[in-house]
Amino acid sequence: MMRILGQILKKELLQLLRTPALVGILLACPVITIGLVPFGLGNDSRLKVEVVDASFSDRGRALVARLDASPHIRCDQAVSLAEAERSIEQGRIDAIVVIPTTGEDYSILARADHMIVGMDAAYYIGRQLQEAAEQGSAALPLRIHSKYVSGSDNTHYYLVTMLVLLIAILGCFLAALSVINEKESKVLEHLRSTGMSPGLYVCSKLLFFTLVGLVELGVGLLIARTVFHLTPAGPLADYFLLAACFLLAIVSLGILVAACSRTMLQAIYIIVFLFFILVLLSTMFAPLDNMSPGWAATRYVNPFFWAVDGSWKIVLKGMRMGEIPLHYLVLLLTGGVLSGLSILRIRRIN
Amino acid sequence: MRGEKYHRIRAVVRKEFRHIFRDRVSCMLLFLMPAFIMLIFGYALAFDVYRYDIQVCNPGHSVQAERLFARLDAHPKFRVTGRLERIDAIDGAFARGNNRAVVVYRDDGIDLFVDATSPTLSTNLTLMLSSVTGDFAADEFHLAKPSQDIRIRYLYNPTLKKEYMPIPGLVMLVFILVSSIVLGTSINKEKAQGSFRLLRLTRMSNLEIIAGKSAPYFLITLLHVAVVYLICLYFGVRVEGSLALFFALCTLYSVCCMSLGILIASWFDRPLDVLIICWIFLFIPNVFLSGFIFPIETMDPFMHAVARLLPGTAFIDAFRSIAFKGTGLGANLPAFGLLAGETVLAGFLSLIGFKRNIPR
Repeated sequence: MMRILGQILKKELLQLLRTPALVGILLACPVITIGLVPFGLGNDSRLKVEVVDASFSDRGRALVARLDASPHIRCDQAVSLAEAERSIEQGRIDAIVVIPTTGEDYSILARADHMIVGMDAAYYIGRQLQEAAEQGSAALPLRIHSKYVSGSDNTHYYLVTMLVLLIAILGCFLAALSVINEKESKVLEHLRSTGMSPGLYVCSKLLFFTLVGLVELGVGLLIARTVFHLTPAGPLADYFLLAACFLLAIVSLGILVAACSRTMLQAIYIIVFLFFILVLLSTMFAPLDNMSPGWAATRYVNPFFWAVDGSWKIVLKGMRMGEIPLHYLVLLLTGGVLSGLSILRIRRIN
Repeated sequence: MRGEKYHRIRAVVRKEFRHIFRDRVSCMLLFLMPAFIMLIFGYALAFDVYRYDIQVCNPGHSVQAERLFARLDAHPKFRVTGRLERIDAIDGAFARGNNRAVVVYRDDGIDLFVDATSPTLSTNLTLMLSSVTGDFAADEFHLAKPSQDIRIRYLYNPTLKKEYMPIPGLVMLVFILVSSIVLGTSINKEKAQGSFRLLRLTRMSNLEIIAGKSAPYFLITLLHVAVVYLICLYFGVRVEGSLALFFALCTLYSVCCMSLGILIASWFDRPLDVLIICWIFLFIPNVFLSGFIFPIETMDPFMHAVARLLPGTAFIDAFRSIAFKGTGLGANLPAFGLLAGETVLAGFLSLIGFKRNIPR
């Protein structure tokens, strides 16, 4: 049994190494996703604001100084309202604050074509104006203790996300297209005629592509550590074990799609569709806090959610497997069900 | 001569249509995928906070603390999911569920423990909580409220409709994946099976074969553009600018994506390569660097320049500008120019690729 498994793994490795273009792509994938893209995430996220002083008093300069001192705002004084409005239309600034002549209300004009920018601008400026006017915080001071600080920007947060995305794309796609290729070229029939059981076939695919995914994860993690100083706060073994459980689920999904598809194109369409849905619902881009309870409930059947959430907890928060057993269990269960279905399906093919 | 060329291309178009309609599942996915994805994520993908889960701790058993916690629980953006008896249980509180913060009330002030793994989320949460505690303190200690009010006016999305945020990015992603992968893998499959070489043995040129294979997908893309517009209307996202310009933008962008798919197919031999390259080199950079999630103005100059070259960035910029701001062609000329330029460049490079990789 182990000898057969070893032979199949050797076959898979030879097939992978036979196509130099694919090996090149596999090497380039972590470099692009982990080594380049995150440079666009760690950045100056300060909102650009201009103040129009209709009162022509010292209040304008005082407000500019106050807003500019905020870590979220970069502020300048505008020459005129018309000039500031032109700047906001061209996207050079995010908001305008109009200081009234005495007694009138402050006005904030925020661009909401990118809704987050508009809401943040209104909120941060509003808070600064309120804090300048009220004394509430002094009566009951609020002391903030940030836990699990992973840096001053989003780089580490999204690096963890990208590592999950990277191994999912490679693990699932490689497995699915390998199976559908063998199905279309009748290699699967030949393998079955040697007496190989569908279970052994699925296990060998699972093992090989899980190993490929783990190697890619190791390379990605090395790049993340070298370039962005991301070091897992939790045990590395627990992190790799979580990744292995996730790969088990996602590679099984690829094998199942390939086993159920009639042609390669059909398998590709189905995988693209499923990936789109699973990735966008995984809380990678829009956190769970933004979802209504109904949509948030979809996470229970989404392996991406458990992988990403578990990775954040281990890599950024330093948690151990014992603290998040549910993540491992759900991924193992999903992998078990999907690989079981794949075995049944492949048995039916023959 | 021209008529002959036309007949040859028409023959490839007919063949491609037969391929598309032969497989019902693929055909259904091809036609319905963009509509389905946009409908789902028009509802599901939200970039504004629905509700933060927080936990509270009242070690001094203060009555004031209970009033603050009740106020927090009644707040539409917070849900108190648990109560800690001891302060040393705080670490455990962050391991379970989706807890984002723990509020500890003491006589000399409030301690707020925030999960700062995502700086964006934690900053937003801190500001919201400090706003609630500030109002609470003002009410409890009868402090004077500021006499001046703040009026906020949102430009280009006055009612802050939440669909305005994901729709441009979703359209961008749907086209970049569907248009590039579908056409790329279709061409690649012909290459892998050797039928591309067979076609080259006839009098057809590479350009004619590619034109013939692309034409059906272009027609399907036009259908997708119409569907995208209808879904925008369904979600209440109205096009403020010229409708013709909006359709021209969507069509040009999807043609650009198709040409990127052809480019990848011309240089790589297997559908697997196309699939991986489209996801890793088109999907991931365009999700993170196009302004879909983070505004590109926040990037450093080098990454800003890289982001500006992505087709997704040009598309999202022009989409927001035409649909939300109501601007005309003049304001969007750079985006149109970039998309057209990239389409031509990708087309040119793919012709070189086909010439090198599939000699007659």
